[in-house]
Amino acid sequence: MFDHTTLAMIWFVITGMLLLAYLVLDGFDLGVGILHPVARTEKDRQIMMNAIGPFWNGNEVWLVTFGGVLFGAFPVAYSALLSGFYILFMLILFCLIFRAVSLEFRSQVSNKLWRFFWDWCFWFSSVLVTLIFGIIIGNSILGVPLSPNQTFMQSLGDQLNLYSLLIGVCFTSLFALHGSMFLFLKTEGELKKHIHTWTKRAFALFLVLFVITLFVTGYIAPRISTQVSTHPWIWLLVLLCAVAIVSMFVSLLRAHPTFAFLSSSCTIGAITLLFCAVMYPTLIYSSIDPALDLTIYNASSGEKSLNIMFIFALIGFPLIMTYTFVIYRVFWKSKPNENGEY
Amino acid sequence: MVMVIIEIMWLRSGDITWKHAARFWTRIFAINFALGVATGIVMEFEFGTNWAAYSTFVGDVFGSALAAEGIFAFFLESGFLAVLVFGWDRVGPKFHCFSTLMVFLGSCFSAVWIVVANSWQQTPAGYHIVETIVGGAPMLRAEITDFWEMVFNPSSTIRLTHTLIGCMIMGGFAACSVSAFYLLKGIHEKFAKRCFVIGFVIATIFSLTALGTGHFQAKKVAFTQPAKLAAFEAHYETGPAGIHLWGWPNSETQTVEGGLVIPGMLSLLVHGNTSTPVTGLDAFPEEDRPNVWLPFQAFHIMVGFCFIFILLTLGSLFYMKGGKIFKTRWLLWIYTYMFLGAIITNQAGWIAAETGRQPWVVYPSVQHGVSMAGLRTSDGLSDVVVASQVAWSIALFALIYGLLFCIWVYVIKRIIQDGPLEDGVEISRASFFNPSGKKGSSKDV
Repeated sequence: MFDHTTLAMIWFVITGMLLLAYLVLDGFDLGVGILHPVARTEKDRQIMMNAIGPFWNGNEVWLVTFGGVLFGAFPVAYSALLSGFYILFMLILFCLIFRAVSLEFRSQVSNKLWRFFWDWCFWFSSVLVTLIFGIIIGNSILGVPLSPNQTFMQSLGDQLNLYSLLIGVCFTSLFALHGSMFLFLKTEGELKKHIHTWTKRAFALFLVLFVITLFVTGYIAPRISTQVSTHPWIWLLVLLCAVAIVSMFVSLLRAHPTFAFLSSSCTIGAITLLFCAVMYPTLIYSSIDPALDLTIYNASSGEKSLNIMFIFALIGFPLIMTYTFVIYRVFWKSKPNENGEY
Repeated sequence: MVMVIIEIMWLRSGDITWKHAARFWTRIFAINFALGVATGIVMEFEFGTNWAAYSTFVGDVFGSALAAEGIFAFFLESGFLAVLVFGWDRVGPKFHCFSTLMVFLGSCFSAVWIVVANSWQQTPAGYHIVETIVGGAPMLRAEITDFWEMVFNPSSTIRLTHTLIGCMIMGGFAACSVSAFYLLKGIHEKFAKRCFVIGFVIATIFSLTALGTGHFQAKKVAFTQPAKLAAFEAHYETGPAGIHLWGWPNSETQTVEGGLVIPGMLSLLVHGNTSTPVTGLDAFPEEDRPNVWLPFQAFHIMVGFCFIFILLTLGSLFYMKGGKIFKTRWLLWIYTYMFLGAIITNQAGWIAAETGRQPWVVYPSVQHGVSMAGLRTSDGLSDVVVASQVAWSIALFALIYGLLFCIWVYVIKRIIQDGPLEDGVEISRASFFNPSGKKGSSKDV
């Protein structure tokens, strides 16, 4: 159907879109987790957890599909990334398990200690997952010591460098903000007011961190700056981020929850696009020698299987869109209460 | 499947007992699904983290099957599960029933793709091995040449059928087990009788078919992976072979100790003649032989349980008439615990299939007259991950899974103790999430 170069590009776009969908969707339920300690009463905590009840499981599926597609379309990059960031990915996996379990099991028993334990598990795992995603993205921007056999070995200490930690913290504030927007939309009364205060705090924190991150990135990652100067249209994406952030600010001032949530979704989306644009066509930068970079061309699967998967995607994604839309519509307008009603 | 039937019954009859039954099973299903997602993500990422070399080698083939699973199955399951769990009063019974069907369908798709991928490792087809240059270093990998040949590789259809049947048996026995428990306690009888019958019918039909598919599958293995079959039956020397009913294979002396053999049976089953020789382990060089003890025992446990299921279900048919079984306490006790047997059987089957494949992670094969190299399990590892990292992650996973298992048992026990709602009892949705508490606000449904 298509030649390999075109297909590699198509699959880069699809993979990027899956990443975008994952970050926007799981972003809000991770954010709710990060904000969990903010809730003051048992009732509020249960409402907040129930708010993401019907969604979080489906949202995590985007990560699974992202992983599957990365495996199928860019196996070399998939292997290098996951084995290179072994410890970090293992931590993500542990945290995701604990998160799922705390969401599912907390409400089963009404013992205080039991609930206290799962509350903290939920918070801790949500924060750690977000932080680590940020750290991995930070390291990808910096580049990793990719060797000629397409893998890299790096100590955990090196991976936890200041820049990646900055990205991690920035991510955490962004998700907290996104989560608070979701809760702002889904709660009522006293709790809603309380959330609104926290939304403002998260917004201020994120804004400061984001601006710092942009400047530091330009300064610290020369290959990113080259990429931006050779492809000036990337500035349009920066502009898009700015527009989304401003619209978030305006809708916060006017206390318009739906618009605010959409704006924070757009912000995450724009940032993801920005990330993909500065990477393209590289998947993993090699800090040793640019010739060792894993790109969408040398790390992808063969033409045949990319074509077949493209047909799958053409059939599958419209279906997914349709029923995801239907399911969100079922739950969208209503608000959760402490009893798990929706 | 059990849930689909129950929902359809509810829809057709409008009887509230069916609705309560559906709610009860949904609760159990939701817990299992949450654990399934959590541990499933681990499985998927493990390919990259721990088996990087393997992933690079098979990504083109295996990865595309996995991607297909993600695209077609996971969204279907998880999306409609939300409707199932949270949508009792938000959607009509028809849509709810449709969602159950979709979850069932999603689970089946998921099984299709994952078994296809696994079968391809056992009996690869529709691919060739090419050398590509990445970053200046040559790299070998398998690439798809014929997609449908890959999907319908020699073992995928039969293994898929067998796997699905195995799951059906488990579902059937789960329904029987809980129902039998209630009948013994004399509670929730209306619910229990209905669920028991559904579970019983499913378990009976599929235990019988499992025997059939199992036979054809083993026959396939005899031709595609002779070393594996030889390991299943601890058949060390090529020649006419019998079947062990039980035994203790000893690889040093190459004999089976303390076993009982039906002579010529294996030859009969595979070749239709008791004296035709069956390939033994001696036909393979030492380094290409699988371990014998584990696949042997796992295989025999699986087959043994299958026969127990058949005897049990067929025997119970006699008691089904007029509902005599609902008063036969000793039989109900057996059913209560037979669920464990079904779990063990499924696990044993997978252990046999996977350990019998060793030392290969991708079996070598012959494609259109060209022989293709396989990939040894030991060559599939991530070379940048050191042993100590693997050791601690395994230890942690063991700990976490152990913990999860305990919690799972505890929660499932609670759900079962709470039981389905009785007819005519005012139900609150609170009880759905907060089983202990009638404290939550009640609401009529």
